[in-house]
Amino acid sequence: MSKVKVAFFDFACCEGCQLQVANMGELLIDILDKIEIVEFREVMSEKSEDYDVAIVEGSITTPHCLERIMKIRSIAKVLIAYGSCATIGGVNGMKNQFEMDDIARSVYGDDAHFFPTRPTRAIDQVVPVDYYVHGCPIYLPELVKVLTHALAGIPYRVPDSAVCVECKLNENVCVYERGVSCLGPVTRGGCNSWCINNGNVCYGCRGMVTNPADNAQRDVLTKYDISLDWVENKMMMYNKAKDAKEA
Amino acid sequence: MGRNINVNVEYLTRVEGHGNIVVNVRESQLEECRLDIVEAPRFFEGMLRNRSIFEAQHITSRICGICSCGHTLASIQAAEDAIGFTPSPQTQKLRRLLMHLETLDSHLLHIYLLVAPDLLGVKSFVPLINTHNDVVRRALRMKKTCNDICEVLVGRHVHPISSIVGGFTKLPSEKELDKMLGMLRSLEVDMKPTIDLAATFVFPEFERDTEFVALVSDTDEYPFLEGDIGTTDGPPIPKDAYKSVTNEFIVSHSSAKHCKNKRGSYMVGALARFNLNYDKLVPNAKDIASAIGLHPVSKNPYLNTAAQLIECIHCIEDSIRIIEDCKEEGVDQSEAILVGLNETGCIPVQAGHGVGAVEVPRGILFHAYDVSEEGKIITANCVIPTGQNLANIELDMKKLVPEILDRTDEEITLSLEMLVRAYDPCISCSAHFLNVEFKNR
Amino acid sequence: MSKLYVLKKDRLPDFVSALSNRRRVVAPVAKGESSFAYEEVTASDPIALKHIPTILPPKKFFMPQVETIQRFDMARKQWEPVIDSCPDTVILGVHTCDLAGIDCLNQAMGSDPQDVNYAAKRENILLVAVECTEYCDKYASCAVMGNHTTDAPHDVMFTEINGAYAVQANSEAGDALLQESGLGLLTEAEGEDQTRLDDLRTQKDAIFTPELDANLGDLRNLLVESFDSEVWDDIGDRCLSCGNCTNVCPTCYCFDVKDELDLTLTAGVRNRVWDSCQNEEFALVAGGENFRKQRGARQRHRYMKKLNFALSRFDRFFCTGCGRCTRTCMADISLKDTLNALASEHHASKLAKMSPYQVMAGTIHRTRKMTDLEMYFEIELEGFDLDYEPGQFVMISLPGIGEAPISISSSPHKKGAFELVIRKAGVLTTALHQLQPGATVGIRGPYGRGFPVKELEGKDLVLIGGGCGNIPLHSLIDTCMHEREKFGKIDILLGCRTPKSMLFTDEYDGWRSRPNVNMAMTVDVADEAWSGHIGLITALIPDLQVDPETTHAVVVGPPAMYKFVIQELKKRNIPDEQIILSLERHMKCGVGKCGHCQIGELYCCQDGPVFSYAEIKNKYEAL
Repeated sequence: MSKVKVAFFDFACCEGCQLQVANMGELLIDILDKIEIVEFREVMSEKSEDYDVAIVEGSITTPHCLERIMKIRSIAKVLIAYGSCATIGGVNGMKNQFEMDDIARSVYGDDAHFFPTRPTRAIDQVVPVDYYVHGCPIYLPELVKVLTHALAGIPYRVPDSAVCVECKLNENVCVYERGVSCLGPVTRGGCNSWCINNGNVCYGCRGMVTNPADNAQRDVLTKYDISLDWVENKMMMYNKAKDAKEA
Repeated sequence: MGRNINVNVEYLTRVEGHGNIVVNVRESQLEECRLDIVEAPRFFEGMLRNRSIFEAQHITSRICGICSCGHTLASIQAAEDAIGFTPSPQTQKLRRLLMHLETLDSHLLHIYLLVAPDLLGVKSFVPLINTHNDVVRRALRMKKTCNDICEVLVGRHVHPISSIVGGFTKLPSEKELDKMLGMLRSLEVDMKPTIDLAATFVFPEFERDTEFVALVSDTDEYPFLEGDIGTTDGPPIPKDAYKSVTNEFIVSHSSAKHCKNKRGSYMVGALARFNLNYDKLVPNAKDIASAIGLHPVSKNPYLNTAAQLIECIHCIEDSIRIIEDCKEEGVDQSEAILVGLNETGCIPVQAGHGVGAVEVPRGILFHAYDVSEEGKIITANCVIPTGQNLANIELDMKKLVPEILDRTDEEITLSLEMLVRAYDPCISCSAHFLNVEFKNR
Repeated sequence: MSKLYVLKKDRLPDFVSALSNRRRVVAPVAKGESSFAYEEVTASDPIALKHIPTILPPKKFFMPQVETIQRFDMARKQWEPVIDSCPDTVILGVHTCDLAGIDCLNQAMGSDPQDVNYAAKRENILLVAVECTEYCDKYASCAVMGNHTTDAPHDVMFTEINGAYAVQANSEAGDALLQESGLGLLTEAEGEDQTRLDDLRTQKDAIFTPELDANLGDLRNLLVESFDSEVWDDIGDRCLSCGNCTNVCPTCYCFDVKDELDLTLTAGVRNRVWDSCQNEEFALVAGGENFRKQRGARQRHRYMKKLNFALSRFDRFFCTGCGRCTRTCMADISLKDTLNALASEHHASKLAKMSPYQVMAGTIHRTRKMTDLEMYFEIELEGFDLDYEPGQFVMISLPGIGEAPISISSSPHKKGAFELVIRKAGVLTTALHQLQPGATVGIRGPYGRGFPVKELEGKDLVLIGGGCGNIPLHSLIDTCMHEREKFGKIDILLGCRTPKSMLFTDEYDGWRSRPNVNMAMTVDVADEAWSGHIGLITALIPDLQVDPETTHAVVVGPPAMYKFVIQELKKRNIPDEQIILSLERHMKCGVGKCGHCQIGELYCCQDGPVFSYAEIKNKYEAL
């Protein structure tokens, strides 16, 4: 039985999620038993236009990116978006709160016109995506799970409950009790409360639960004397791109 | 009749980020020689405006996956500088440890997965799985071990979790120190065959007189996190005056912003550090350097990879020393700090300007922030090591091409690719150093 | 009863060391400022015996958060159960509420078929409990659940008395544990130690008092009756569905089962993972139907499970009163507050249901002006029919203006609405006359004793209506016409001031056309068109053909009319009991309390308004 051909691509990103793949260690060799990586620019010189599965990192921010992803989608049978930049726009989305001219100018001054840029969009805002691996960076066990599901042809359901569920299972002391607020209650879990396990708060990198309890959220904010604006500002760190319209 | 050569490598492989090499030779005359950076810009400095100084570390970490600890620490240094906060000795020790782990992680990835294939005549590590299975396993194992140690220390290597302005949100317990120590010792074991393998590498011979720039300091530390800006061309310069060193400028024939200090370009990275701080390496590292024929001051950019190997030896030993130190003195758990999304106000802020200068695997990285009274960022500037190397790479290519005109097109192309790879460029970080094709300008 | 021992506090470290030499010891350890968690210990330093309930209950040792229960390998067509045990463990410092929790889980997991994964761990775990001598904090409700003292199985109990611990085994294993680890550390208790212990336990009854308004017996019933309470909606608004309450609950054991393939794609494991009924998708079925889509419904389910369904399945409450769910809830949803709210709402609604002053909302469906003074109203109630008899009345009101008794003019055979004809006479009735269809009015009733329709069946009827007495009479006439065959000859005598003030004129032809129905009418003042009788209604009576034995007369009219009509009826020899009257009085309550409508000792609103002449002929001021 021929191996499934897999190709890795990246767009506007930090390549951290690809790096996580390299962090799999010797497990990577076991995976390579099942799949044939035909393109993975960061670590291989081989290239290919023939692949079954495309694993894509990064957001779409220029017309060139758009062309590339459409070509990839037309070739691949299965498209996996991994990392927040690809799945929800990630930190690249913060750019969208500015006018494109303004932000380009702020970085490049008079040379700004050499760096045309469009509002950041997640992959599924331009082409259909078959599997999502959320997180910034991805939680490696989840990538392995998704890959296994994809190879077995089973859909993967991203958990739709808040990070709080896993956080409590890990018996962390809730950071709210320490006088600090955290985006856990509105962020979808699946990362095993990685950041809270390490003493920090949740920054919402996996995107929001599909049915956040708006009223309840407002009550909690009032209770801890936090304004809605402030929370929205924090959420914008990862979740801004989904507002982007067609560029 | 001269040679006509047209090298156009689109999306250079086995480098981090997207770059193209364009070289045109007509009648044996070098007409055009560029490294074009075609990374899609992400405008981090723009996005940082008006965000809290405490968020900067979290956000700038995302500039780069492989240097995420470096960006984190540079950002923290700039922030602490701006708000006038001095980290505790314990915090500084642990940050040094973190930087070593990233250096190791990055160098091992580079040596094994990015450079070794060229020196073993293959296109990637994939064919090596069959021919050099134990080598590949060792490479992946070592890389994963670095990641695992980071997991214990800061939660993960890519975008570290517990390192924030003010210190760490979680400090290692006795058990965790032992765990990290055990893993470092296994790295020591794996390092031996690594050195043996590297000793068999035949690096291309090429030299160009270059200025080297790296952090230098008065202490015994081989500096990664502290010090002034050192150069082979003059006395050290305080980090606050970084702009006088980097001198970003636009070159007329291409619009990549280049850097130059005393000459047309300078080099940063492992080789620069090695050249400037050789004395402070652990003795074992110096011995191995001699054994493989690497001496300061080395002017062959291909030997950047060899310098990285030497740094690996140093980093492992120094990390072990730091942990044994922590075990002896004990880790003060009460120093654990949580700022969260900055509401506790546990660290007072003030208006100010701060500069962070750290040596990430690829070279010296600068973060500079202007902070308002409320602790919000007014302006931010990040100068990436790879950007600082671009001019040097181009000048190297310009000198190299005429010297190898007698080779085949494929050999020339490979030599150029290997040259760029030797610098271990981190292109996606190069937020401002972007270019588009100007063939028609 | 096992021997009572004493362990001095300074010997505790040695005891813990001795324990941990042989087994894994887990005990509550401080985490952060005010939280505790069970962690493995080898010495007594980190142990906090005085603790508030831990973040996660001891259930995590019996039933880990994630547990592999099955391995499969499809290449070899094999499934294999995985039953992980645990090392020999002592859980030290378990509060009595958590003992109850473990007991609940033992029951749930032990129920047929037994959960062997749970049992495998349980058999390796010993419980050394610590008795609480005062409340841990304000969130506990252990007294209500009876868990401030011990009934539940455990192996050893520690109770703090006077700078030492009273130690007593409660099982064979506990005995053995004390023998092996307590040697040289425990001393036998003296008589006064036992006394102190007993006193302490007696004191506990005074310290631990029921923390809820509802008592244990009522709780289940309360929940059953409060299914539709708005308290659940309020909670639903506040709930974040974070799942914390169920995760920290000592008796929650719901789990999800997830298969995980490994990279061979044919082999893997099946894991069970703690799940929560609070999760959005917990009750979701394929096809998209969600049986508990609302957050309030999910919270209600949790309470039901603990305080209602558990009784059916396990014959006990599954709430231990530990307070964890309240303590951990970010939205401050409190078990005690919720139950108290339900109890007070229930009590209030019980009272409300009993209140005779409860007003129903009626909607005006149609109106029709009948005369200058009278207006017809068709009124609907919300989703049900007014259950009345002809001759009864309702109290109709407009909020802020007033309330008045109005006779029902329709017959009960009419469904979906009832009819009133209201004469404009005062402030309220004037206001009612302004209303348009769709307007809301308040309705109370029906009140009063109506016409004795059953008695009238088979009889000849003389129905006499004067003025607005025709309104209640209409109810009876309509009833008779509707079931014509049940009644004998019917004579209808109607009297009004003028032809224009006649009511229900469009129905007269219909009545007249029925077999054996006669109608005679009279007015006080005629107009040109009138060709009928002019004068008092009494003048119509002599012409009637009546058989005194079979004839019943029903008379409704203005107060002045009754005396004279009755005189005429007596002349025709109709017996007193066969003369039926409907009287009118000033009414304010309609339920025999306000005192206005009293006739002698009778209340017109309850004993009437329909009376037989025999009943009231000797009452003062009746007619």
